[in-house]
Amino acid sequence: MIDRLLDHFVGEGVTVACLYCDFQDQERQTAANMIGALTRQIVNALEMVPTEIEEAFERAEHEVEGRGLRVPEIVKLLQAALVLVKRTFICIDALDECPEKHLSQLLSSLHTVSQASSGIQLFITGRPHIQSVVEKYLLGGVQVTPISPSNEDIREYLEMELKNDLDSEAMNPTLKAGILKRILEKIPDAYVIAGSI
Amino acid sequence: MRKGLLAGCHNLCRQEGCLGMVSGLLGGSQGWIDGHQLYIIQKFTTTPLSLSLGLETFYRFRNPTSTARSPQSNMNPSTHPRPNATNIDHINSFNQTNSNNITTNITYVNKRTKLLNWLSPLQPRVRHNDVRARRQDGIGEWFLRADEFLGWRDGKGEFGKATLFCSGNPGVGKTFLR
Repeated sequence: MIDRLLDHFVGEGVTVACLYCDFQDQERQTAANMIGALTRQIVNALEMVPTEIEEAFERAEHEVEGRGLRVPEIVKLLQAALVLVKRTFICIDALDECPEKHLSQLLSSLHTVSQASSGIQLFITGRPHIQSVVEKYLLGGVQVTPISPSNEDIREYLEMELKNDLDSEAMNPTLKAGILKRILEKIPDAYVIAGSI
Repeated sequence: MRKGLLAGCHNLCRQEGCLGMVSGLLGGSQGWIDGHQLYIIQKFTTTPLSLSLGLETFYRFRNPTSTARSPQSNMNPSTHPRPNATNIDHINSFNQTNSNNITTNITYVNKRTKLLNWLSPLQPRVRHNDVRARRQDGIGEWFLRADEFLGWRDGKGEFGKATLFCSGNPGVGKTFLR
C-alpha cells in the first residue's frame, strides 16, 4: 500500500512514513523513538535538513552523552519537517502491539501534529479492540474498515504455496483442485475460530 | 576497484544510512556526483552508480550553488557512460580541481547519517522492504480498489476522513496490504 501510494502520487511532493509496531521490539519502540522514526523518514525525503532540526542536533552533540530526545522535543521537530511537505501519509501497522504506556503518547502526538499542519493522513491497522483508543485520541475523523482476506486472496496464496511445494511429484492437478476446494469451503469456520482466540 | 564491489555498493547505497559506505569508496578514488549518479574514476574507466536521492541531496545541501560546478554542462553522463580517450583527460582534470569539494561533501554525508540516527534508532523502512519481499502480488488488491481506501487517499466523499483504521484479527493479512 505504501508503494501504491508513492506510485500514485509520484512527483507531487507527497511523503509516506511508516511504522511497524512489534511486541518483540517493545524496549526500543518508545513513543519518542517511534515519533523520531517518522521524523527521520520525512527528513530523509527532504532536500535540505530543516534548520530547526539541524540546530537541535548540533546542540545535542555538545550536551552530555546519552541524553535522548524527549517526546515534546521530537514532536516539535516532526512539525518542523512536516511544514515543508505538501502532503504526508503516516502508516502504522499493528498498533495493538505498541506498548500501552507509549500508545497514548504516540496517538496524542499524532493528533497534535495533524492539528498543527494540514495535509496529514493516517492509516492504521490493528486488532479490533484498539479501535476505541484510536477514536478517543484522534477525535472523530476516523473511518473504520474491517479487513478479512477475500477468497481470491486465499486462493492466490494457496496456489503460491502449492507451487513452492518441494515434493512436487506427489502433487497432481486433481489433488491440487481438491485442496483448494476443501480449504476455501472451510474459510468462514476458520475465521470464526481465529476471531475467538 | 573491482566491478563486484561497485555492484555491492550500488545496492547498499539504496538503503538509508548506508551512505557512509560511499564515503569509504570515494576515499580511495576520485569521483563526482551528478544528479542521481555517482561516478567513480578508476584508471581509465568511469562507472556510474545509480543512487537513491540521498547523495544528491547532500551535495546540494552543502553547496547550494554546486550545480554550476557539476560536470554535466561539459559532458552528459547519460550519453557518455564510458568516456572515450579524449574526454578522460577532461575528467581527470575536473577531479583534480574539484576533489576537495567532493571530500567536503562526503564529510557532510556522515553528519546527515548521524543526524538521522539521532532522530531515532528505528528503521521501519528495513521492515517494509522485508514485507515487500514476502508479499504476493495481487493479494489485497480488492482493498486498494475499495471506496474506503480511495476516499481516504483522495480525501473525498463520505470516506474522506483523515484517519483510516483497518481492524482485523491476527493473520487476516493487514500487514501485507502494504
